[in-house]
Amino acid sequence: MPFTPYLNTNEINTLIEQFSIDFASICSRIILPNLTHEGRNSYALKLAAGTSVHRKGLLLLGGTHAREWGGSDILISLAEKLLNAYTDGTGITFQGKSYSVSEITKIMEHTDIFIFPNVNPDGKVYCQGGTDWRKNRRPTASSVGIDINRNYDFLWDANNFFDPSLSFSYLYSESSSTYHGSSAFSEAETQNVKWLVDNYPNIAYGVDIHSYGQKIMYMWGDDENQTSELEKNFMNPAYNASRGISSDSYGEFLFDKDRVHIENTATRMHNALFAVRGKSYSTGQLFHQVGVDSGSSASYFFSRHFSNPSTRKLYSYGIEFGTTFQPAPSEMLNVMDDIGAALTELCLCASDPDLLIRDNLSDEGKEPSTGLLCMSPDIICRKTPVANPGTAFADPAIDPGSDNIEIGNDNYIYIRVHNHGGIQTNAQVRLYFAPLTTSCSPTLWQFIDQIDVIDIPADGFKVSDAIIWPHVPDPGSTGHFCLIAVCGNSVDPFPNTSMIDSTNDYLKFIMNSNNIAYRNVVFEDIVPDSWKSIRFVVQGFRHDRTKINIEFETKNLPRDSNVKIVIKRHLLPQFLRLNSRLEKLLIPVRSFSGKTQKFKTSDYLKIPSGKKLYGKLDIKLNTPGKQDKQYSLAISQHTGQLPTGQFTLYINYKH
Amino acid sequence: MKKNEKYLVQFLLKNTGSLHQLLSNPNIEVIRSSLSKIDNNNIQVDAILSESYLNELKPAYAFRIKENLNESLAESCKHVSVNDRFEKP
Ligand SMILES: [Zn+2]
Repeated sequence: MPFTPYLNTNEINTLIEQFSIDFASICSRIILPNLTHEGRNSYALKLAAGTSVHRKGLLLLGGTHAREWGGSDILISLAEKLLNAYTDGTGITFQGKSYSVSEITKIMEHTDIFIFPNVNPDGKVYCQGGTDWRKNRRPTASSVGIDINRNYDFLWDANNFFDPSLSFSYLYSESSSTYHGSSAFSEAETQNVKWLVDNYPNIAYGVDIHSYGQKIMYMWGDDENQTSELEKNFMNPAYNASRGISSDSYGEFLFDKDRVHIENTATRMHNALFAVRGKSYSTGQLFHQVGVDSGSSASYFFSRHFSNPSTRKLYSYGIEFGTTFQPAPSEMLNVMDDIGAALTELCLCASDPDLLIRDNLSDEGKEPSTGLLCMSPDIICRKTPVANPGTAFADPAIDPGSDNIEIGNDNYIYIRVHNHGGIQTNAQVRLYFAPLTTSCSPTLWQFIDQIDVIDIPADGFKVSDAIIWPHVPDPGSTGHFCLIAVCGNSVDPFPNTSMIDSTNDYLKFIMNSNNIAYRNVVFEDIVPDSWKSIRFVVQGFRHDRTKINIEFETKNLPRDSNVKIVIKRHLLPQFLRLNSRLEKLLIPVRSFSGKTQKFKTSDYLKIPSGKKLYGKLDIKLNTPGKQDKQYSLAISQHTGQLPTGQFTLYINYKH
Repeated sequence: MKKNEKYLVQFLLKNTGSLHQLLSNPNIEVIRSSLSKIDNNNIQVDAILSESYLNELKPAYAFRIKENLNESLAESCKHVSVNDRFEKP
């Protein structure tokens, strides 16, 4: 049922309900938990078809500002077009820009599209009653209304986060049309949006649609983007007086791969929109296009994974459609095509191939990742070639394990490359080795070989042919290796390791690179009641001032075994060097069968700045161990609360 | 009594300093999405202000009135149905 603009709030609600009935198998209605001040319910739609498992979500917001009516019309119209096209098996044409049947299928079957078309229903009702209005309608002490798009939790209390020369009186005055409220997320409308991104953790793209200005904008909004200095970020109080000024030394950090991705996707949206009827929207960073941003959805969305690494990275955009708040209906229909095409293009981007080598069996590819990185079930080493690796390693829920790398012989290494996108793709895998280390930094990597993996299915994986590592040389000082596999292609490029200058940088980097995985497995035969030494590397970066802690997980050792770590004096803090001749931290292991038992060296080991140092692990197993049992010991390096790396020692008990 | 008319006006500013000045004036709603920099010395931006402030700003700023916001909103409202045009499912 095509409609003419403009929809009122009742009509929006009716259509949402109608879609969820007419297209029940591919469209559902979400009732948001918070009623508005005037007691209205808010509704969103979820569009999703097919059975693919690994799908990214997009959240499309409209109607945030009361007078910017067309955002709702754009989104309801887009929902209707997508639902009809998928159901009828047709493409979608937005004047000069068309999407094919297969593109619509790919979008509907490989993404979840969350549409929240009328974020501020009270405001829309009031404004469509004939009074110009922007905010919601909740009364304040001396006025009415809060600007929803200044109420998100991103540098919300602007007076405390920006260069003091900037004035933010317009955010703090209740009568101002951009009053930001009494606290971040004080409003039902922003709480509803937050509820969506909290409850649908696969949401990876967010767009907030406004009028007017003919702009496509992306994060950040508080300062210029920069990709080299991780410590310059919105959470660092050291820069609370520096943000918001262009061309000075402060810029807001993002990883280069995210900068590239956000610029590429914005350009694709621009080009799709341009193809409709030749409108060229100005495309760039929020900060450059509209100035300093405090409390907006776009910056809040992308800030979430920095302030809480357990949340998914959420790329975010703002669109300002048209050249007036409410274009005339005939022009609004054109604008619906313009923005419809841009949003469809973004949905296509979200279903692009997304490569992954998993860090562990439960790794879903979320960035940032928070699990351990040392035990990839997708890096499989064998001493002899496997006849049919695609069959042998066909079950992704099983870790086929890995043989030890055999020095002096040929070793055969197989990589499982996953594709969480909606279209089959090719990738290249590069394989590296490093000496056994607690933090496998790229400075230690040495290239082995690379291989192309062809036709990795959508929402699936493929096992590579063998990468042969011939006549493996003796690694010298450590006696053991770890393997590193990195994958990439033109859509999902190889990660750039050049900006890593410290252990903290490295930690953030590996968390934000699901194209890298490690397998650090070491096997040793140990005779009981005699000491065995394993050497490993502790590596520092150029700008390291970091303190680390080395932990041992000893639950899988026989009772009353002994483990000690021997480390160079350089690693010890001054007070230990002066007050004792301590060079060894002896960690006795007692019996705590069945319980996780961890021992720490405490957080005072100084990582060597730009140096490679050796640590030695001495183990003595107690005799009551069982011969047929495989024991293990996990050694991990931690920076603050987070693991920077780990290796696991598997011990075969020899009598 | 006649409603206080609101106007959408386009300012031509000479530098970012005058933009900040506009932003900190509580009687003016700057439409930041309309911002366009022709060059460093020519910044265009729209703002909403009431009739009474138009005269006050005349000596200090270069601007032109784009539309009477009350009138344009009244025109837009003609395209909004008072009822629900769709049948409730
Ligand atoms: Zn807006």
